Amino acid sequence: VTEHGDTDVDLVDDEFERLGRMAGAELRQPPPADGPGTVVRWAHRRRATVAVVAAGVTMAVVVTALFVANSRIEGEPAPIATVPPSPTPTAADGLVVVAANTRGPNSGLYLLSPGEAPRLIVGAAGDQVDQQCPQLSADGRSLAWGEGMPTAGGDPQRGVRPVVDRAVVVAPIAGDGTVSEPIVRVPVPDGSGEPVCPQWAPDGSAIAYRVDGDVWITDSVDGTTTVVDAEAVFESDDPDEEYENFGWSQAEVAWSNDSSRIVASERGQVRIIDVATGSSDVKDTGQSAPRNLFWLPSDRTFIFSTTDEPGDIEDIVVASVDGTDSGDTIFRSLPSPGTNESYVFDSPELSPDGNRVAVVHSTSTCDDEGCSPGPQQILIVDLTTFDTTTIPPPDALLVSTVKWSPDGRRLLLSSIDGVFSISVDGDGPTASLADSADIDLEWSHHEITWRAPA
Amino acid sequence: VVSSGVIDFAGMVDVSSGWEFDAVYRHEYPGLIAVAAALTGDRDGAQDLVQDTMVKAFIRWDRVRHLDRPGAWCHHVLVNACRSRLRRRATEWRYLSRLRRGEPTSPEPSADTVAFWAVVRTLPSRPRAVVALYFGADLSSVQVAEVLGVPEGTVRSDLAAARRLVMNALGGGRE
Repeated sequence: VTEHGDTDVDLVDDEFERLGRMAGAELRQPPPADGPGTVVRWAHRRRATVAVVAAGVTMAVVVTALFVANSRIEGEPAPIATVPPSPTPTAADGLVVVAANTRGPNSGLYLLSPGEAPRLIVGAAGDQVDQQCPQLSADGRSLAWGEGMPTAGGDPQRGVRPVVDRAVVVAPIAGDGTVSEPIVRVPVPDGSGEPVCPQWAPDGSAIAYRVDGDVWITDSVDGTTTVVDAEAVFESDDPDEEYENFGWSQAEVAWSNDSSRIVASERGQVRIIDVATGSSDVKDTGQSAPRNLFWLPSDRTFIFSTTDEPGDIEDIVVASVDGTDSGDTIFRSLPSPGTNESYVFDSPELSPDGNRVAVVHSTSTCDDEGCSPGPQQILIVDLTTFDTTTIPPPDALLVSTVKWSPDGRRLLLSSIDGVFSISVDGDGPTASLADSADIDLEWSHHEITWRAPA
Repeated sequence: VVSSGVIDFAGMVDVSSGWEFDAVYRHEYPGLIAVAAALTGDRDGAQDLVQDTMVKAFIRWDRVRHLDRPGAWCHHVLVNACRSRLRRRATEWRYLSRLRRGEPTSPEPSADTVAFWAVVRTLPSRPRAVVALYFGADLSSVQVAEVLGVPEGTVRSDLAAARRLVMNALGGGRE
């Protein structure tokens, strides 16, 4: 009989059992003296958030609708602030790049340009508001983002969760990065506490975003909002567990190229929404969590990624929407890295011409000193042939997000080391837009946005 | 006192019935911290995960206190949190692991322990959790099965498979 009370002879008196017991004992630590007291203080803060959730979704939607009706907030105190325009016009490879900085007192949205320090364009020191998920409209004339107030006692790392007083905001942005009125601000119930993450309709008429599963569609001019019932990608009876699992799935929506339909991720299926009527149909994807949705140029086909249990990307899937293509869902796997190292795919992004996907391929290795990052590559996958081109990140950066330039010729890389752009063919110089000493990115897949200037 | 879904933060312990939070915290903490460290490979981050787990337990103490084994509930929540952390914080983990490499924290576990858990973290998700709970939290196979919601036979099967894989990875001669 083991110390565990087991009697399985396979598990006793062997080296594995000895090593395991020693390894377990060495990781155990005595509880901190004031541990329970600390828990009570944290629970007190968390409880304040949960209580808001308990107010009920119905009431929240009603209240929100009232806010939405008056969401052009002229004269209303708003937790955002704009700064005076820079006297020097800014440009990043001839394009506008906005990045979210979510750590410390200088959180906000920044304009990035080569050779210039990042310039705060939304947010103000000490405003206690985190602005996240910046999204420039296709014409570069409008900027949308999500915002919220981090709760005390939340995660001490970047991307503080949960947030309260959630909202999505739309505002005009000039070529020099100046954000101005009129501002449309739509409050969102606190719910899961994840920041909302708007996605622009290609024609700029509206933004769509997930609010704890449901798809909200907001007119970008008057703030009129339609709520379409949908299920979250991750659901649980335990609201805290759902919060943990929600991650960045608030952005799991994608507009068709003609702006008439939206596809949204659900567990094991996708929901296809007709924007004009608000009606929707579901399509079984046979996968646990379709994510990273993109419509192909035909608007008859979209792609998504599938994930394994921990959420790492396994496959890029090409799926037909209405049967006018092949009629069948086509499952195609990303190329195997051909290594025994642990690896993940991250941040798949469809090229503007709809023919290629850029994705970050990261490896990690574990040895006696612990686990550490291994080599990283950026893969460009041709969606017709599934042939792959490999681009090593410049200067061994740890890349977290890849975005295509509007002309499809360059890639914008956000990294713990800063923000850079490189040529898709891997040639040519690397342009540095921001250094990690200047800006702390939020480390989501939506921390940067890149569009042609207005 | 926790009652009827309302928390009175003036006190932590309801002596009328059920488990005392303070006692459960102190009893379960060593195992929880070991499981979190084993599953994530991040001893500093493990403290945050355990803290968050216990906050969840406290908020729901009115329900959790009446469970036969509140510790099993805590371990279940913690294992899910570890999986979530690995997904949501992949970039952060890579960054911090780079920073912490060469920055030893004290006290460091032995080389054998580090190697053991490094190999365990290469196992598939469920066997990884089984080994962490069995050795890290020092739970019996029955208790591990309870935490993970799987048959005990599955736990034993996972342990046997883990034994082969881990010992093979560490060098068959050690077995």
